[in-house]
Amino acid sequence: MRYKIIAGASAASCLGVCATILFLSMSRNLTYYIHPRYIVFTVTSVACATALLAISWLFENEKRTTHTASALMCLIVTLCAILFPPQALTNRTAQNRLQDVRTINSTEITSFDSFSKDYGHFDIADWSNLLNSGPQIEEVAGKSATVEGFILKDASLLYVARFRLACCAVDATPLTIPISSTTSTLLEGRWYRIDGRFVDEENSLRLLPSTIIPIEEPNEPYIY
Amino acid sequence: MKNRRIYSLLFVGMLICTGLFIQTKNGINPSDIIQDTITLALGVLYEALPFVFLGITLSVIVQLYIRENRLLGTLPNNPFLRKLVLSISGSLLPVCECGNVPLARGLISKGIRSSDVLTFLLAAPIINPVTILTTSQAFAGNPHVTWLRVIGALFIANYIGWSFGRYRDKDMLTDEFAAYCAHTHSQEKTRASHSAVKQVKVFASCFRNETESLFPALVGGSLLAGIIQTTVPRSVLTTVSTEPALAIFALIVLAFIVSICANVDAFFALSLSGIFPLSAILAFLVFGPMIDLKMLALLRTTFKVRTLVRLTLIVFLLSYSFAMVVHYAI
Repeated sequence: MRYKIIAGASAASCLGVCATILFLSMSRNLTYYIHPRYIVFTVTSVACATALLAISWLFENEKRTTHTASALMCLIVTLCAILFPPQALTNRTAQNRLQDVRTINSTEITSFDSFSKDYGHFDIADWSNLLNSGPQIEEVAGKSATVEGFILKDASLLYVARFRLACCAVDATPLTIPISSTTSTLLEGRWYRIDGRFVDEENSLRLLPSTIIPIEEPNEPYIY
Repeated sequence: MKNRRIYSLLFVGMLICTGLFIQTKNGINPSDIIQDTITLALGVLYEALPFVFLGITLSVIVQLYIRENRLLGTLPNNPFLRKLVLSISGSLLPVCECGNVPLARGLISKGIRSSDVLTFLLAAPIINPVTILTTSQAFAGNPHVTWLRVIGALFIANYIGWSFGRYRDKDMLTDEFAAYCAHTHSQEKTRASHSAVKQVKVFASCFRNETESLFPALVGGSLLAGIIQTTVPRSVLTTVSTEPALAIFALIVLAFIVSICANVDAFFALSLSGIFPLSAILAFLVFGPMIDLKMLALLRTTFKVRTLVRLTLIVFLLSYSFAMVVHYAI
């Protein structure tokens, strides 16, 4: 009887993990954790694994070694996924990783994310890469920009930021644009759509907002 | 043994509580820490799980359908050539380092020596087309990063294979896995006569067994990676970026903690290239795919603790030395 309970719990909890992943993909929330290019592969492999695990449990005829630890781990994962619904990484992680991208070398950045010269279609990623490549201030000052992101505060500076994902949440890196210090109406952690132009402030480029519109966090808060 | 596990868990729990306390005292919302920890841990898990399933599938295929003498017959008898072939065989197998662990278990169960399989395990994540391509793409401005990474991986993986060749398999493998290998070997002859339905059931049963063996390690490693990333500030590592010796050490530690898949770690390393010297970046790219929290947890299902400690120390020393040589000689 004890064996049947443990085996049943193991079956239910492992299926719980697989079901969680499949549900996240159907509700388009799996991209909070992994890059979209892995979605098809993830769903396919999890579906096949679910089928194999189900076959094994349904047609099991003899007793086998029970893996209580595995059942417990599966249960923990399923509970975590239920109790902590999908959510983008918070400001705290962005602040922790802010200095990872402060001084990206310009020679590397052109291979990482080449940007066109059409400034009118630049998004936050393009502007962030451009600013981090150390351009001439007079080249960029006066240029208009429209960006959407959350507000990040570091020391006395405010940034509009957005996470970029290369593989999964663990490598998420904040792409940032510094905002003019004359701006005081922005709340840390809130999402905004900001229209403005770049100005030279203390020998560095900052975005001077002309229009600030609070927005809801997008369904896809990350840039891929 | 049971007391040691309890004390280990208590120690980890104390570390977590201390980290949370310090962060809360600094005005950080503990719910943000917990939420980010869960997000990061689940991110690592969901990214690794399909590759682990793929590796388990390949492993079960190897165990059930490839005869031992045929598998061993495809490898050269010469030990040097055998290790070299295993080093580059990762090019043929589309799994990342997580998926290589169950596949390695399958290879060991089929009679390939554990030391040779370690060569495969360490080299395969780096010496494969996807990793080489993404590395060359990320470091297009520094093409020598790619070939230095490959050379470093080849050297370290083969050295490990030679170094561990003096140990017997039973000295390196866990008792549980050694018993599993013996059981698999004894079942080989009877498997050929099974009907198709029976073979599907056997395949499913082996798949489930491997999944249940590896899952606790994968979840534990993912959770630990998430916890450390949210409780240890990144600035702890970046403050030592100017001194090469410390910078190399710092990025090796970061590679160990972050547990990023080898296929995309080059882009993550690129974001640090403005702060750290290239030698430190190289150390990150060489050490990370070989040894990290997630990998060690998975390897623990197969190898004894002292084997893993020995492996980690040697890989660390070799990666560190390689990076230092690159820094001062190239």
